[in-house]
Amino acid sequence: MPGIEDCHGPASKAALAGVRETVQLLSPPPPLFRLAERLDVPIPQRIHRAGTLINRRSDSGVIEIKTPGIRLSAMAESAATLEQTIIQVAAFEDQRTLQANAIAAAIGKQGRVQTLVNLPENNRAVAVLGPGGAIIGSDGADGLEIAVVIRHREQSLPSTWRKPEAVIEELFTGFGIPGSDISPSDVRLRFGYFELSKYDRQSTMRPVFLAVLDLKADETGVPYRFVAVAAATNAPGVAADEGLGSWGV
Amino acid sequence: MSAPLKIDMVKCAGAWCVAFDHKGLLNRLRRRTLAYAYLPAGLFLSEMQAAGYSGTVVGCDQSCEVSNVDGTTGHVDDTGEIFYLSSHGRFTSSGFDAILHRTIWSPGSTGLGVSRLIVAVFDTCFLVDGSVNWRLRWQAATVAPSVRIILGFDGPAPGDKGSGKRGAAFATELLNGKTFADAWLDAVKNSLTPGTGTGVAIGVGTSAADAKQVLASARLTSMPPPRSGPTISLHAQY
Repeated sequence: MPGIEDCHGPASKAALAGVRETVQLLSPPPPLFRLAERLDVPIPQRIHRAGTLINRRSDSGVIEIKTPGIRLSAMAESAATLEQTIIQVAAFEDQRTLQANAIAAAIGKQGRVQTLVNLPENNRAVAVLGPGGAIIGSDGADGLEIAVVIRHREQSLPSTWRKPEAVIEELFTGFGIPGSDISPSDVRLRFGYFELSKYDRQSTMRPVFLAVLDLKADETGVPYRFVAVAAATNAPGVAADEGLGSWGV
Repeated sequence: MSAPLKIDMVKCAGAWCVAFDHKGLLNRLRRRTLAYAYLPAGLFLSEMQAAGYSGTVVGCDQSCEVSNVDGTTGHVDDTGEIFYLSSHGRFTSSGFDAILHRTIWSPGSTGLGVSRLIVAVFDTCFLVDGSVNWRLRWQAATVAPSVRIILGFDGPAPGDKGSGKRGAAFATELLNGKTFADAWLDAVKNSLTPGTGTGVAIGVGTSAADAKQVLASARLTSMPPPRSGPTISLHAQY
């Protein structure tokens, strides 16, 4: 029977080793989370501040904080109360670890602050990947817009690891490139939870392996970048691509 | 800056290339299929249409070649005020190239726009290359006076299905009243997995201040007038 390397080249073998390493490190397997439908959940009065508008998006239920008259580039200077508001909104939405100490300054500088999901049973925090799972600052029509793309987890579902070979098969088939064209250094593999963008509705958040294929510009000068996502675990009653949005197979 | 143009209804045009058929063995091997290239431009057009704007597909694959944009058989890039192209792209010592189905379009050489195009979106890799002095090439480019904003990526752009929703996000942000620059940069930031694409918005003006101003003010309801002189000055926003 052909091995994964025979079908998808040497990069798949290296990626397979990465998946296996993660599987060995995390026991029990990380759970899936059912996310709450929050479109109609009101934002507590205690969080509201003069000069800021805090509303849920009608498409996804994600909370946006709008501060008219401020540009993202000037956010760090006007941060004290805004920082508190952002932290309160984030905490109201879900209990996560924010990957920065000075939130407003970090958003002003990098545009976003990523989050981590704490897994007490594993004594570990797992990164949230994807376009969401972050507090993201933008310049809106009237001023600063902060999207708190942190969805509320309301139920934990025990899960089991998928076979690493199945994960790699899915990722490398998704690339749409012959495996022989891909060298190990062309692929960056990450493990984490996957959260969709502020534009998307999402009812399940699950652990994934996310692979970025980066073929540098070659003799013809044309580069190629592709992001593939595969569910890392399965749970009864949860479809194979649930929670992956357009990244699903 | 002069007063905004009076445009009853902004017209959007889009094109994409999924498959590539270039001469030479190496090119055949390397010009990889972009299976989801239809998504960014297609979703942009459909969102704009749903909001009541005119959105037209002006080319795809075999009908999206250099002859369709350089005046030989047409100037589909000048069909409307906004032109959105999804395909492969690269930045060389000669400037930016959009890789089309069988041909390579160097808009800086053959010309971008004629008289109607105001905003060009090159949803490709490497509209600019931040590791070199890309401004030299774009400042020397043949860009119609009407063209005021060029949007795209500094470096690679992801070609997968999930990342392709950026075209819809761009329309959504524009329809929310954001400037073209903010709408593009926010759409990229909010649609992509971090670290997989860096959006860039380039203002085109007769001076640096004019180029900066056009980025800060141009939006669907306030389209900028053509440049008032022949010189090209650029301002980039990330």
